[in-house]
Amino acid sequence: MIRGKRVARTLAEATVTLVGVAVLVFVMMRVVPGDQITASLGIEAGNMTEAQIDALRAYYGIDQPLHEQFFGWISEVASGNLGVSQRTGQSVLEMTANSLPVTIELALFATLLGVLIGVPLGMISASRPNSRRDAGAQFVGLAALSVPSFLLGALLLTIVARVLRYNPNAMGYARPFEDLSLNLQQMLMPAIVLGFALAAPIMRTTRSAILEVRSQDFVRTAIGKGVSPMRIQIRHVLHNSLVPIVTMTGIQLGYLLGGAVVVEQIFSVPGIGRQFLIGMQQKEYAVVQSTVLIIALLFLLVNLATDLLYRVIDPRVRSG
Amino acid sequence: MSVNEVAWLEAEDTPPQRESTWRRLLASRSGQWGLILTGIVLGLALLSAIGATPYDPISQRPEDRLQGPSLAYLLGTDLFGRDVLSRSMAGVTSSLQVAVVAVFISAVLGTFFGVASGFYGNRVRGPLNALTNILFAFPPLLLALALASVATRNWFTVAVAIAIVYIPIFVRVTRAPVLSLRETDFIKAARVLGFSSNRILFRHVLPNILPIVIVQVTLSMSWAVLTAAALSYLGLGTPPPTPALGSMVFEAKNLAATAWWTMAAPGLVLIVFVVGLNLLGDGLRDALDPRNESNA
Amino acid sequence: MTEPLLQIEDLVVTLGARTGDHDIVHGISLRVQPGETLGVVGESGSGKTLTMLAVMRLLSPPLAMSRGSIRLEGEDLAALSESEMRGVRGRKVAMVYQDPMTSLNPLMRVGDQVIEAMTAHGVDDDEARRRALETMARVELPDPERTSRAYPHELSGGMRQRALIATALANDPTLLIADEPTTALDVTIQRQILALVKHLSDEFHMTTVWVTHDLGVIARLVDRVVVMYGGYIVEDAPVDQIFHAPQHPYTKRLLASLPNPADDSRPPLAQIPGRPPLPSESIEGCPFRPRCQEAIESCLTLPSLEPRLEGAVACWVPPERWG
Repeated sequence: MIRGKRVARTLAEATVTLVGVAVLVFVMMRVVPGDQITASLGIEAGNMTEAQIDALRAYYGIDQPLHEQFFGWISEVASGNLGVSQRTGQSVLEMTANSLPVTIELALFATLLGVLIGVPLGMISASRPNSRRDAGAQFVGLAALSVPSFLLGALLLTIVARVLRYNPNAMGYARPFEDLSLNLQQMLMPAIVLGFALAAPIMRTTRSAILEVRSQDFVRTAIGKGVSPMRIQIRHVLHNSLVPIVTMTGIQLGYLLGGAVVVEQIFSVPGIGRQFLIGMQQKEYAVVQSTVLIIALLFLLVNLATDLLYRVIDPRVRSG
Repeated sequence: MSVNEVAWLEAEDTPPQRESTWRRLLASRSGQWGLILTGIVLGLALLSAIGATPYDPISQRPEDRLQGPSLAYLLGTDLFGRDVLSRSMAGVTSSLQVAVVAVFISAVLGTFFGVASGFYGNRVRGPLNALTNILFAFPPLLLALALASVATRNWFTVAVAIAIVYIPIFVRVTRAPVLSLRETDFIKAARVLGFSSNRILFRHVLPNILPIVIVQVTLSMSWAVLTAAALSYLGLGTPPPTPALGSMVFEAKNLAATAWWTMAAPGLVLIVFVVGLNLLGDGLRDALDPRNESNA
Repeated sequence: MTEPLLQIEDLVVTLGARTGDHDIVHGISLRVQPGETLGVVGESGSGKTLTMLAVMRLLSPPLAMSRGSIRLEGEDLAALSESEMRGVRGRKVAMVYQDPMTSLNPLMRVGDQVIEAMTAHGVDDDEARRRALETMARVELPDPERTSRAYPHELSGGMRQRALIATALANDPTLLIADEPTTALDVTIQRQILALVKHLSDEFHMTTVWVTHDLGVIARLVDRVVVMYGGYIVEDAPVDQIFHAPQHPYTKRLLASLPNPADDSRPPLAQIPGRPPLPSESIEGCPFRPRCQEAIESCLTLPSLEPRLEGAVACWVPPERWG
């Protein structure tokens, strides 16, 4: 009973937020000086007559009052029509269907790398706090936090592509089922860049969670039973540290969707971040609006999933 | 309300000593390095701001292009013959300008809304929560990108875009302590005794959340610098010809294989700056931690 | 004279603080005979818990045992390697802790925690499962099958403590240390748990050490009592002597502070004014001197533990000279 209520409340909040996001995006795009027509037609727009421009505006619905445009757009989205790209004529839905899986694959890779690097580093750090080992691990973490993704990406690409003459990303993007090997190679460097950024906060969270849990009574009980150190580390300490670690991973996954914009651009990965960027550079209202909406939805879904994951990890949460 | 009661009440509420905080900061390793590194970078920015760079960052000298580091050009020159060192220094200044303004705006507005939300309760809190959630629903970089692209491009609009993205953090960070402060005995007593809300706010609440705000300001500075750099990398930051660290890295992308200094210099400056700010933030957080009070 | 099961000689536990090292337990010695039930009594800060943690080698930095020896069945525990000590913990000597809520892993089923105590010492899974249910029945947990599948937060305080006791008894330890196991519980549950442990201890002739701050709790439980104050042992005597002829002023005050519904003349819960010394405070002579009503000039010199009547006491002022 309590569970149902909480889930319903979370969903309600999420819906309100999503609507708010839609409004915000809509408003932002409309504030742009120079509207979609002139942007997409470029110089040609200057050669058209006022009447022709008006006709185009009417066709695209830009001459209607703002709130009507907004509701019009929302109802279209609800019925599955996410708009059409001016340039290519392709529906945004189709574009997204192609680009979203790419970003998801990248995000999963990056998260895997981030966790594989961050958690063990955090455990090493916590094993002997304030020692040289700890300081070393923390330094690596700090460096990871401070090197911007675009710099690391540019650096990596330069060194690997130019110096080592290895650039799988120069070839067209390969889908996993077309050419798995090439696909994985293409994903590798962007995933490393994003994973590196992810690893730092995960490492910090792991370290502080472990230190906190280690001082708790039940760890002393386990030691008092004669349990082996390995089992204590994993089954008692790490297991109980998972909640903050999972929380942090979820948050970082959200940031990753933002960082993906830059990384996808550097490595020419046709993901949803790149879709957003190109849409923005070309002032495509439909593309940008729908893309941002989808990204925000993704973000909310990640939060919900993290919430659900808690219930699996910590049985105390289940009882409400 | 006797003078004594007022004095007692105000004495009951003592925020951490500023003097010992400074000393603790100087004593910690992260505090020391944080101050040193940020100091160096700030020094460079200051020099550039007063025009004390070795060369003019903007003027081109095509005859000297793509020279490696030498005595004449300490960090080499770029594609247009511009001195990389001078450009890096100018880049720091422009980064700093954007970051300081952005963080100032978001700190002031965010703290204002956060304190209001914590102090005044439900009518304010509902819509504020909704707004904060909406802003939080975007990955920060994405939001900054979108905001930066909608207005005419100059450094101020970039700063405002970043500010808007980071307001929610300040709201969240200041709301919680205000909520718990509201329940403390001396605040309750103050209200019962008829202290005006303003007096309570300014003399009791604000000084107590000041340490938290300071730490968050330092952290937000480092994010702001990173975000501004990412924006300028994507071509959405401070417009040329003002040098910006991010766009310098972008320009260097195709050159770096042969002219490594074009990417190394802005990159290194950026890293040193951010590392310094992060260390400073950590050091401040430890120094201001009330748990350290007992050992002072 | 049989060899004592547990023999502590001149144990010193030190706290390494930033301002310098402080001794918290000041060179205490005590012996526990096989099959005996010993009570260790003292206020918080007396060092009683630390002494027991030292026996289990559960002290972690900044606390450490800096001097002395601890022998279990003649074996010097301090000389054992960590992995050898691991073989001792939970098998030869086991401890039951004060707060069962925090002393059990919240994310692990209770039954698994009992099983873990056995599998840690090489018992195979099926055998461990069988014995776990047996032990849980022994500690009078209702429906051991179902209880073993529960998580700690799903059980009541009393049941949690029983589960904790079950983990301690799983391997039939020679020595059981119970550190204030009932303090965190309801009064009614307290009595049940105390009765349970006494029953188990008698039934299996288990050597038991009860650590508590409440003399009343152990009156009918123990054979002998050791009274600790400020990190020193101030009296060590059979339980009857402690209650009828206390030799140390502190013991007498402890007895006086016990609630006695039958005696109206005595003020309820007479507290001893003052507080025990902090680790950083160094008191000249006897640690109880600042709070003692019988203190004389000689008390500025630390009294040593000397035999008297059927036990031993560390005090310059015998009872016949008390005011």
